[in-house]
Amino acid sequence: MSEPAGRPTRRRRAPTRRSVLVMDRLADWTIRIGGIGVILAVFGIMAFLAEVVVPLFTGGEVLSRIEHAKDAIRGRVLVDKLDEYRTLSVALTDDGKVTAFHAASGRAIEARDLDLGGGTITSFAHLPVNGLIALGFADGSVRFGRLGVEVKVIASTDVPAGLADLGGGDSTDGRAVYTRLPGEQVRRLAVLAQLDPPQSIAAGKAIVGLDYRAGGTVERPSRAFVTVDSDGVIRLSNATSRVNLLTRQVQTQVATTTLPDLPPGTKVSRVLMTEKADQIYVAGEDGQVFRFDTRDFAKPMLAEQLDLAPGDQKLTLLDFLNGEQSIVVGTSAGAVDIYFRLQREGARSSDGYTMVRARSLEPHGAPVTGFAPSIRTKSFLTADAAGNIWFRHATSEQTILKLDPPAPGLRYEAVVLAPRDDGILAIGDNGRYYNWRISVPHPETTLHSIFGKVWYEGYAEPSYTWQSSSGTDTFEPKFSLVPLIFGTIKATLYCMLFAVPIALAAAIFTSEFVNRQVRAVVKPTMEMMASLPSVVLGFIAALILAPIVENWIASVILAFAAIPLGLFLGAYLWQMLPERLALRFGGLPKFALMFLAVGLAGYLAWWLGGAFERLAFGGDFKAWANGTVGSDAPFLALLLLPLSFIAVSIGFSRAFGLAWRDLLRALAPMQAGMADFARWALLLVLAVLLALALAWIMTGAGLGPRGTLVDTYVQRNTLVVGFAMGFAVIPIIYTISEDALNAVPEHLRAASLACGATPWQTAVSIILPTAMSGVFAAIMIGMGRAVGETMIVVMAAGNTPVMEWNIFSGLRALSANIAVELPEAVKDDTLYRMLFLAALTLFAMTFVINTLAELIRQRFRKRAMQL
Amino acid sequence: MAAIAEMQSSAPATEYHAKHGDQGPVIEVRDFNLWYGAAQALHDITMTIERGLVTALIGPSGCGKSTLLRCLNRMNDLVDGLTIRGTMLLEGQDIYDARTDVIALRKRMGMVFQKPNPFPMSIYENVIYPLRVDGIRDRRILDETVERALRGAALWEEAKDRLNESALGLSGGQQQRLCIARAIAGDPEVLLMDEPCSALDPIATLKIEELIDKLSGQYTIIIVTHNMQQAARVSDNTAFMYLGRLIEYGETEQVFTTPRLQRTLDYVTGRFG
Ligand SMILES: Nc1ncnc2c1ncn2[C@@H]1O[C@H](COP(=O)(O)OP(=O)(O)OP(=O)(O)O)[C@@H](O)[C@H]1O
Ligand SMILES: [Mg+2]
Repeated sequence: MSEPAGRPTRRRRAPTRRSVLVMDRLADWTIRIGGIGVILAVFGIMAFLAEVVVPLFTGGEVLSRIEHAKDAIRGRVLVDKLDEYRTLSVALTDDGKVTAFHAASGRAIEARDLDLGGGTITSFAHLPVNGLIALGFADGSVRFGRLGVEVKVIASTDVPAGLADLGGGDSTDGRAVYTRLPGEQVRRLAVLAQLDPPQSIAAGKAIVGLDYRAGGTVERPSRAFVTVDSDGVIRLSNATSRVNLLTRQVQTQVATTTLPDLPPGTKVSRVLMTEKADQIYVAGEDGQVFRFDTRDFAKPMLAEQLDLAPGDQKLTLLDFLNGEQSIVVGTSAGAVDIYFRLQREGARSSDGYTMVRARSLEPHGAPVTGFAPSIRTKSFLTADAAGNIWFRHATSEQTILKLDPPAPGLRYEAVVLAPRDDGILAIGDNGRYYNWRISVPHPETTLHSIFGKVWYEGYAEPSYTWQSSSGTDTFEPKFSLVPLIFGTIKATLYCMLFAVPIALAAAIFTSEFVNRQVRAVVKPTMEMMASLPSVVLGFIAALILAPIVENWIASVILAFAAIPLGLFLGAYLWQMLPERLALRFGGLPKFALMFLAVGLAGYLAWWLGGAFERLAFGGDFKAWANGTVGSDAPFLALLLLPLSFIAVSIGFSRAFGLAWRDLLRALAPMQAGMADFARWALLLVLAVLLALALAWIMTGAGLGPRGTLVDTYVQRNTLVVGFAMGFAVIPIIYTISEDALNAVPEHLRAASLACGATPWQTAVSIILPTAMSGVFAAIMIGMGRAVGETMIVVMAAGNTPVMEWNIFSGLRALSANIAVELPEAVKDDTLYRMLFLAALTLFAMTFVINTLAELIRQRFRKRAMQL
Repeated sequence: MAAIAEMQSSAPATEYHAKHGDQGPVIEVRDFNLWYGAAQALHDITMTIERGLVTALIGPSGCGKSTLLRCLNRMNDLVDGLTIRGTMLLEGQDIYDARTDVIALRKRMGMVFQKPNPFPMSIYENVIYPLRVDGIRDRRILDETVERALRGAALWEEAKDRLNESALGLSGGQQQRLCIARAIAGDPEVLLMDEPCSALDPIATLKIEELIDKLSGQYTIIIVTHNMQQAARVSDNTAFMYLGRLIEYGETEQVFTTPRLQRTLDYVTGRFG
């Protein structure tokens, strides 16, 4: 301390300045916070995606249950209707009484009974979707009508005074329920019950089975109905009305045809008819189901007879699901199965169709007694004799809710699913009714329905299908991610097949064979390619490249062979050049020659395209691809050519390699060049012959590419996507792998060359293996880019979610699917969440690929450090 | 500065008193000049390398020893903007003739570098690499070569049980001997060594020196070194280079004990350099 200040030794020992320390701390913390922030952000995104996705798999829940006594209802309940808002319940009993009550409070609402005119109801049919009903009577007549809830929105000033409050914003005057809505408006719900005059169908014979459908237009409404009388006679009637729009007069014409007789003694328990009245199903109690083909109204036929309740079981349920494509069959043993009518070869029916059991759902423990389909989805309720009500979904085959009997020994007279699938109403035989409020937001998705094969309605067999929406309400959404994952993989694979060889060849070329100046130009140029916006690439691919490829497809295929051959040819010609010239033109002119070779080869391919098409593809490529004309062999030979060339070259060098080398050494350079060219040409001819022979054998063995790799040509296909995406991916793979090759220490290169290796041998046996992990990482990163690439696949891939390896068909990638369908998705509905699941899947795929790439790169760094 | 300028302009001829081997010369260098771009790195080098002898190249850093060595097997070809003038003959054949097969030329000269540079492959693959590039696949020949080369490089005992392990697992000295084994595996005529011991500890250095001694009858060896004792110990002839010129080239004993030039004496006695 006593030493004079300013001496160097003292200076060095002085404590570090505060500001430096603070800066250091600050930097440290900023980096730490930034890093943690990034990690948190990634996990946050993942957590967010997962949070949106999870409800797809959580099933449903019961929100509340209320019960009331229903003393007003006597007789047997034929049907119970509930309005969309679960406000008013309307029940019809077999004595013609209509009973309405406020669902939440149980308060009775006045309703006019149906005037049956003294008739006795012997059968009943109703359409859940529109509230149409049909009654069959003991005297052989049929009456049609409507039963339901009439909903009107009125201004609050039109509400009558002196209403009794029902709670929850509802009030009543005894005749209707009024629900207050936001904005000075009121919803009025009243009972709608009406019955048309009777039509006599089977004079004097009771109608025991009945079903009907309504259709036609406003001017010409039509209704078709099928009846079974007590003698077992089945009649199909078609009533067409003509409404005179001026006078409002209705003229009705009824045509009736009789179906073939059932076997004597059949006790009909159920009659079903399709929307178009072209199929009629009549079920006997014992499970015999007779399917009639009534497409020809004048000549109905029995198409098929089958036993849906084998053994002693009784058929207790036969009904359509929403859309009338699936038939739900329930038995006294508790089984619940779903049948499709499918066209099958060798079907034992007169019309080529047969009933196929497509899905077997979880069976009840007791006879199935009740059924209620949803009117907007493929969900439905089944009830059993033990008082259980199960909420199921047909597509996902899952039982989402199981409602235990609220009282022991209870049986239900009727179960109703609310129109929005958000409530269940059941009338018990104990004089009470039960009202559940439920939430089942995504009944159609399970892990199996998303990732497994599902047998969809109308499909010949189980399949992976993505089809999220269609025009109609009765459509069965198909949410399989597999075709999308497949599309992503297919696009990536074909793109990589195109991009990897080019990018790697370019990287090896610039890092090993080109002097620094050329490299200084080529590399930034390639990197600039990476900055091409992918939407531009997609745009060009879809609007310019796709039509060009389509028009000159034979030339394009030929070019795949012609361009490499042209380059080889150029190289051999170059070797024949006198040294003096070779040295003189070694720089730019050589480069120009390469371009010239590529250009010439391309031109030649274009010029020979027509001839090639005639030779290899029977003159019409598209017809060839379809499999209509031509043979597989020429194309297969083209595919096999590289392999056969490699095989032939290896064979040659094994057999004559050393001798050939000595021979070349003995020759003057120019002669050696010519000799080597002759060798190459000979090998090429041999390779072509070998490829042709192989192709011929393989085609003979049925191993042709058509039907798998090659099939029907569409304009926006995977080949075009491969090209365009290749453009996006090549610069990435090129840059990173070039860096990896360059990072191989110079001394290894020197060592190899000093051992007498050629630059090519050095590149292939020392540089490439040493840089392998870096090159591999480059490929993986390129792949990550290809997997996540969106705009190119949206624009150039045609977006058809098909699952085939055909290079000439389109595809739909996960990313493109999200981009295309997100605008259609309603927040929080199934499609919306499915798109998030697609995003999560995509995220997982790129995450895995990038992590793998990074791990490999780390290893590579460690190894590079050792050198 | 003036002295240097004068010396460069009035290039004095090399003081030349090299020992002649009994097999005649293998390499002849005549009036060899080399420029890196515009900078001249070698000036009028004229010398012969005698077959079967060990020739040491010494001189201060940057004087052109490595450049000269790398010219012999044309490793300099890769350098951009290189100009040469003069002739170099390997057994009477012009190394720089346009018709010369560079690859074949390099096969006739093994090279060992300053830093051990084994390939990231197994020991076995490292040794047979020169044969691999020749397309030799005969397992018997390869096995024989590995044993011969590793014995030749005094590495056989240490490496024979781990031939298939990575060469990068060897110690620095072992790696350098492996590189020597690789250099002699192709059975070259000339062995070029550029400071082969500079990265090694004294014991490893000793081993390499013994090795050079052992190989000296079989191969013609040219070794660049900064270690005067080493040059004195292993070489028959010593060439002293300075600023791109060959100053004195003579029998090792004489160069180190009674050099003909003062500058050589100054250098070998450590007074400058
Ligand atoms: N690739 C190159 N490009 C340009 N100049 C070079 C190159 N290689 C060497 N030189 C220059 O040539 C001269 C001779 O270099 P060289 O490597 O032959 O020296 P050296 O005698 O081997 O030195 P050291 O003992 O340090 O290895 C030096 O001035 C060096 O800067
Ligand atoms: Mg050196």
